[in-house]
Amino acid sequence: MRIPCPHCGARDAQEFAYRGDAAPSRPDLDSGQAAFADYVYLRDNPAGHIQEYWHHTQGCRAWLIVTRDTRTHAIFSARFAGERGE
Amino acid sequence: MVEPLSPLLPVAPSYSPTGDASEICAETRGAAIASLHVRPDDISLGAPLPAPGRMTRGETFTLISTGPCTYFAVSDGADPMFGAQLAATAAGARIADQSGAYVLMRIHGGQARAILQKGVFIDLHPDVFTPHAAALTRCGRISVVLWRADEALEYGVAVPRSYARSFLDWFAFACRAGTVARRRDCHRQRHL
Amino acid sequence: MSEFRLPSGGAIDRTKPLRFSFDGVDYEGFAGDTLASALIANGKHFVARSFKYHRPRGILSAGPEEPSALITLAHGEHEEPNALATTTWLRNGLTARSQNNWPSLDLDLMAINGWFAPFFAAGFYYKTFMWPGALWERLYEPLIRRAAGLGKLNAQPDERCYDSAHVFCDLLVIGAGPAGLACALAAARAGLRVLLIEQDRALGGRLLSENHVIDGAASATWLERIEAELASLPSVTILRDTTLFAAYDHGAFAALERIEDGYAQQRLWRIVAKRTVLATGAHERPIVFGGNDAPGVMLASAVETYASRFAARAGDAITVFTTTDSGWRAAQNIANSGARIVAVIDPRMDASFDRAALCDAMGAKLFSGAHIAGVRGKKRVRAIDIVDRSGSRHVLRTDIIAVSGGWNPAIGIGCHLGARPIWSDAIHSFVLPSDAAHVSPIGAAAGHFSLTNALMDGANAANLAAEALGKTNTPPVIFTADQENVSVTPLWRVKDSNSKAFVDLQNDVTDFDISLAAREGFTSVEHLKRYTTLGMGVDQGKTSNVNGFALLAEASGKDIAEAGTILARPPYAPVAIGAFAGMHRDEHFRPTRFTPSHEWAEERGAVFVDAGEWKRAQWYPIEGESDWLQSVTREASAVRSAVGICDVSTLGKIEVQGPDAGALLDFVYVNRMSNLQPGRVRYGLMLREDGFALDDGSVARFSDQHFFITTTTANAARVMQHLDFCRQVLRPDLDVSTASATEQWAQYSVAGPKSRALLQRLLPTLNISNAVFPHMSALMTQWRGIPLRLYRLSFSGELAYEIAAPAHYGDALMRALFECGAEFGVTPYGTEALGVLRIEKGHAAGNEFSGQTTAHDLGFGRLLSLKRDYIGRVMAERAALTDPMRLRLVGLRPVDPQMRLTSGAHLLPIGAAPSASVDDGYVTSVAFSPSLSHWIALALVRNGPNRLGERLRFYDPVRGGNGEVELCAPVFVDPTGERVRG
Repeated sequence: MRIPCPHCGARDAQEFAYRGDAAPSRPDLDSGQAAFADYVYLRDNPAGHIQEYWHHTQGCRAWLIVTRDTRTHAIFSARFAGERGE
Repeated sequence: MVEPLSPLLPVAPSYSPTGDASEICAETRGAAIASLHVRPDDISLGAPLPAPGRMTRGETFTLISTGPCTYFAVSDGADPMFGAQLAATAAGARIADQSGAYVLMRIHGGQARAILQKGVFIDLHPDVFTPHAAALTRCGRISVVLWRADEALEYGVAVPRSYARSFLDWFAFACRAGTVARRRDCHRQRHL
Repeated sequence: MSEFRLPSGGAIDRTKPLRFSFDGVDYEGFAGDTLASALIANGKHFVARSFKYHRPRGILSAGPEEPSALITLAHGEHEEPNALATTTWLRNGLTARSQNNWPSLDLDLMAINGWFAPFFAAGFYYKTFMWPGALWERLYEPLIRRAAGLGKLNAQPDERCYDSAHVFCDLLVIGAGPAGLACALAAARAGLRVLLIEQDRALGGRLLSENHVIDGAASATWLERIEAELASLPSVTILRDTTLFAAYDHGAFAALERIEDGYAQQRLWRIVAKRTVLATGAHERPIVFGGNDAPGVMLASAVETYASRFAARAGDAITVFTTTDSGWRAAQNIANSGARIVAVIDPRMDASFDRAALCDAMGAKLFSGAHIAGVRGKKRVRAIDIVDRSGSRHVLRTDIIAVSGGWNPAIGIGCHLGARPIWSDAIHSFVLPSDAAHVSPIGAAAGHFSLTNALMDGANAANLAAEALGKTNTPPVIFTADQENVSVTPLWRVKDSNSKAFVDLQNDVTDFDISLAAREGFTSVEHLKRYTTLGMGVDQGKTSNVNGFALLAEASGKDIAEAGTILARPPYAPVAIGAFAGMHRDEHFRPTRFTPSHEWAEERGAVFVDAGEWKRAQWYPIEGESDWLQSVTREASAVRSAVGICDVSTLGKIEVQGPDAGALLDFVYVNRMSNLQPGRVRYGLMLREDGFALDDGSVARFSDQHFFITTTTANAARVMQHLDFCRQVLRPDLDVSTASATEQWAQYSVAGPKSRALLQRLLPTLNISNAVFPHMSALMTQWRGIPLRLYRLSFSGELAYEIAAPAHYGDALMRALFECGAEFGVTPYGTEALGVLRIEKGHAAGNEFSGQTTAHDLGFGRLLSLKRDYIGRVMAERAALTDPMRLRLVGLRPVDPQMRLTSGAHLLPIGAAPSASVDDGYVTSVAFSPSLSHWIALALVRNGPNRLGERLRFYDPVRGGNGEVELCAPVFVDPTGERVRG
């Protein structure tokens, strides 16, 4: 598997660490436990496009959001996670 | 003044597969290194900031791109206060001296690229990894900073100090594994 | 020369004889032979016993598709089972033996299994060994395993050396037959970086065994020319003897190279290609007829290859049984090589060429519209029964049956990413669908069987790749070749056979098994495979699947296109696990990390322990000490009474800099850090977002915008990644940077009542008096021209410091510390004494930070800030995580002071029968306390802190521990903490 790091270029997946679904965003402090429980535990499992966090641990150390198709493993884009898009 | 100690001293300061000094992985001693975090628009360091995957040469040090807004400065001299001095001249940059954190190696000789490519999963073809190219990647199982300083097909490698012996061990294995001399139980001993 | 070696021709070197042994008998072959060709040249066909029925088996093919000729190769002590005789190159001294027989190949008593064939039919073990279940493990499975199976491992370590390498290319060409060669050459001429991979040692594919005319020249001449041009082009890399065995996502592939005389015997290539062409050719298909598994039944193309490439006659009287035009071409080629064809049997009534004339030329009988109904001879074909077009039977003496039932494109690699093959009525086999985008099949792999088509495909694929990669204006490359007939009329099986007709030779699956499976409802190809084992094993059905699926379609009344085929998965051919490990095995399993003063510790005779990748000094035995506990107790006592030094360089260390450094730390620690004064240190606790404890360490502040934090050794990488996430993803609004400094600082704990005196000697001009540099202080200074950092903090409960120098000066600092400490009786202490000291002080460490404990559990509840947001804040407040009835940290002391405590022991109410239902907690850390002279422990106990003084049963059935312990506060030494402030 090759991940197109926006800083380093395409690299083997072994250089990266996987974190998982990038869709949930961290609730505010006063959102309550239910909102945090959703954030921490609840994940969709889409057949199709998914955005996921990957950390380029053995490269530039950037956290990325990689858009992947769960059915084909095709990767459509990878961008710095700090630049929240859409 | 205290003398610095090479982590490779107990094994060998270098490894040459042929015993010939023209084919070698050798420690480059006497350099100072610092890591920098720089916002591109607010710093003048005395060397142009390199683009991702590149290195640039300043008057007294080389800058290597290591990540978004992060760089390595590698000086020619071994000043123990390099990091502090750099911080004094580059206000606004966050600087951490890393001179102790890395061992610099130089890999050269006719087989340099072929041997390195055994451990490195980035394309080292001379048209792709061109002069002044630099990369953070893994070699074998060790994270390294790798660069090509000039036209020559030789490489600079910064290896985290604690891994230096294992790196040289990997290098020796990679050299041997490409040779024709048959030897058994090669995994039961140090390759050096 | 051996009897079956042809006097001339072939690509063997008759000047280089090689000795080898098979089943203890010595034979001779030549350089250029495979083990199979050398055996055939020696008249040896019966080389194996079959999987289930132990029937005699021979050599079916001349390539990697071989299902039968599996042998065991000796590599010193280690034996490699299931090697293919057909792809093993002969070398001097090669030692091979047959497998799956007892006591010998010739007299195999297990052949008795054949008499019980009815029991061994499809799904037999699902049906036969059902009851009683208890017998399965003890009786049935060992029985089956001994009787059935392939080769066995001899349990000796694999001493072979495996190399690995990476390679990148514009165009990957898998297979160097005519199509692959044409493609590689055209692509290289167009300026692409080409990687050409060939499983054979020689390039050419079918051209190595056939004679054609290409571009007006003999194909052998053309081949030489192409090879020379490819070798001259620096943009072309050719890997021979290399099997591409897997396709992965995003243009990544893996291949295994076999190296004849290397330090390494195999090399694993990891490949990244922008485009890939599949030029793997096709495998010839056997015909299913009674007795078709006897030694002497071979693929026609294999008989042809052995005759023309290896100059080995398969037999004295060869019969060709073909439903294809290519079978006829093979027959002519075999005859031309000097072997004798006695008959050609073609079930087809007609062909587009004059078959009678060809037979006349070869001196062979023609049986048109006929088939083979039976084979006579068990260990070797002796004669065959032919049923002719009129239905009458003939017996023909023959010792080789060369079978050609059609061709199956070798498309396995094309399926690895999930493309499902589709049926082609044109070639009567499966081809890749056009959307198998990661590889483009060409030539025979695409079902284009004529040489002209193969060459054309190659050139076209190269042009497409060049265009796609932006190389335009390249001159078109055109090759022309002679025309050939490639028609096939499949005969899926001979129905009037009088004995077992095998579909899968490797797994002993017959046509009967397949119809049985269909009758029992296993009509999907995937079910068929699992029920009958069709297509399993080493060869993964390369010669059997298509026949099997055709028979399934027939038996279940389906169309074969509808029945479909299975998805091939990696690896395409077996790969030893050692090849994936490469150098990373035994002591090289993972890299080893050494601290800057490792040599110093070695000089002091340290015993080292693996802490992750690190080597850490565990204790330093001195003369007269025979027991580790003796050394550790002495070291810990020295810290309590004088001064000791411990290498803590392995701690994770991170520089945190920038105007928002304090704000970031406030976000990751439960306790506030932004109000820490410069020059001060604070203990910090981190949670995971789910509210459980993540890690702890110290936070020092050197200036307004510069903090320095430490993590535990085990969590260094994880915390760094966590900070990266918090900084980059959760709080990109903060202007702060982090840099790992773990490798930069050699750090030593200097602990004990005399530690200040020691440091004062090292740094005589620095004021580190208690008033100026109190507990939890930090400063930067210099020592002999190098930067130094000094922290006053304590893990041992004594007056203590941590002192740090850049790693390349760590050794010098360590030696200087010991010089300065000599007069104070300084003692080096290792990780064990470190553990004793922290357990005496009740400090939680790795054993307590288990991922299942909360801040409350570990006694840190009071640290949790209630005024601000931080990682884990909300989830940590959940009722279940703050419930006092949770397992919480306490100390334990044995009621009997002689009793030894062990970690992992469980704590139960006294008098209760041991059971998980009454479990009250467990012991996490134990130590022999030099201060108290008895064993002490830390434990997680239900509602522990509210039960101090209670007694519980200490129960360790694994190690035989049993006794009473009393719950106590976890701080065993200096509970008021006076010493650290002294």
